Amino acid sequence: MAHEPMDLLQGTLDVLILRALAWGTMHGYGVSRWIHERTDGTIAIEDAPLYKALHRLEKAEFVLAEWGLSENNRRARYYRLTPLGRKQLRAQEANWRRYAAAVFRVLEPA
Amino acid sequence: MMRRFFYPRRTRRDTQTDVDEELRFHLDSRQQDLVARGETNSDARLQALREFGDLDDAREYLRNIDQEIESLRRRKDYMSDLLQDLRFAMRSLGSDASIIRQSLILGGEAYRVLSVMPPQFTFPATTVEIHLPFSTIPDNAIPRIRPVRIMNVVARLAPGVTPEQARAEMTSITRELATRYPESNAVQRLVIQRGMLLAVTGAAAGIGSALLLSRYIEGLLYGIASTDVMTYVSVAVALPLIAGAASLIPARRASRVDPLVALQPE
Repeated sequence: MAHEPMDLLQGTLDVLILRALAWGTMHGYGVSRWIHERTDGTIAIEDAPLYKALHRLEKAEFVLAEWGLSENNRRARYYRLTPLGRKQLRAQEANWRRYAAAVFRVLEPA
Repeated sequence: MMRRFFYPRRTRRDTQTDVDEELRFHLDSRQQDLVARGETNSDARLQALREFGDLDDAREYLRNIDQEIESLRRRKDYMSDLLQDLRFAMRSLGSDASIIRQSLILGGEAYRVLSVMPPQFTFPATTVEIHLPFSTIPDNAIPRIRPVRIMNVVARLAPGVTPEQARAEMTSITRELATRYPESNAVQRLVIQRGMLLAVTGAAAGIGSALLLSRYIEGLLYGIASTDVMTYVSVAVALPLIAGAASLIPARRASRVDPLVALQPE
């Protein structure tokens, strides 16, 4: 499998998805809506990379996917966080806070 | 064994169907939401597609990754089933002669127990405790982890055949196989490859953990950065070379093993 470069967006996307799923079990569309609402549309995220990330996280065993019935009674693929995924979320969240704090320190007037 | 029924195997086709159904669910849900907000059906569909991005590329990527997940899961299931069966068999049946002619389930396949070896019998591979008849190993029971496999076979001499006769016949069979299949008959190369694979995997794991851990010993290092590139590169290159050289000894031994040595009880 060709590994995608871990650019900023991909790393960001992973942590946002894990965060969404920490809130509860969701299908892909649910995750997409959750992120859009939380970011107020500030970050433009296409759905294609979101689904790619979901399946990549499944392969890494950070999330578990299962088929279930949606609110309108259709078969949908639901994702939930594994204990390993929860651990990964904590680690990535800490990294992000450090990263953001460093950027803020540079941007803020001395 | 029950697990096999609960996790039905997915084929290539199923994986594609699953991906398509997941994506269709997404687009339909988005379309419905937009229609509920007053968009027309066709405008809503177009917007859902636009927001999605490259659909064909995602479809292809998701199908590939799902197939990888599936084959990983299959391999893991097979190994854990087999281990569980073996542990059960060893615990409940070990050294009990009454199991002869009974059947035994290993890795989902039924086998009939033909014989129990005497305790002093030495197998060519000392870690193996159960041997399967050569002709009855179903091909799909062997996970295809590597393209080539090394196989040890234990056989019993037919009545009236001397070890010397058998040895002579084995030698001529070996020679014939070597000329007929020069590609797969390179025992020496194979053992070296396996040794190298171990070393390369080890080096990769080692460098990974070294990069992670070295920052903690930064204070103890003198005159060298904890992520000194030359050190990493030279270790990574030297190690496989040393491993390759070290594999030469077992490799040469393996290619010289006399098959009959293994056939004789102590």
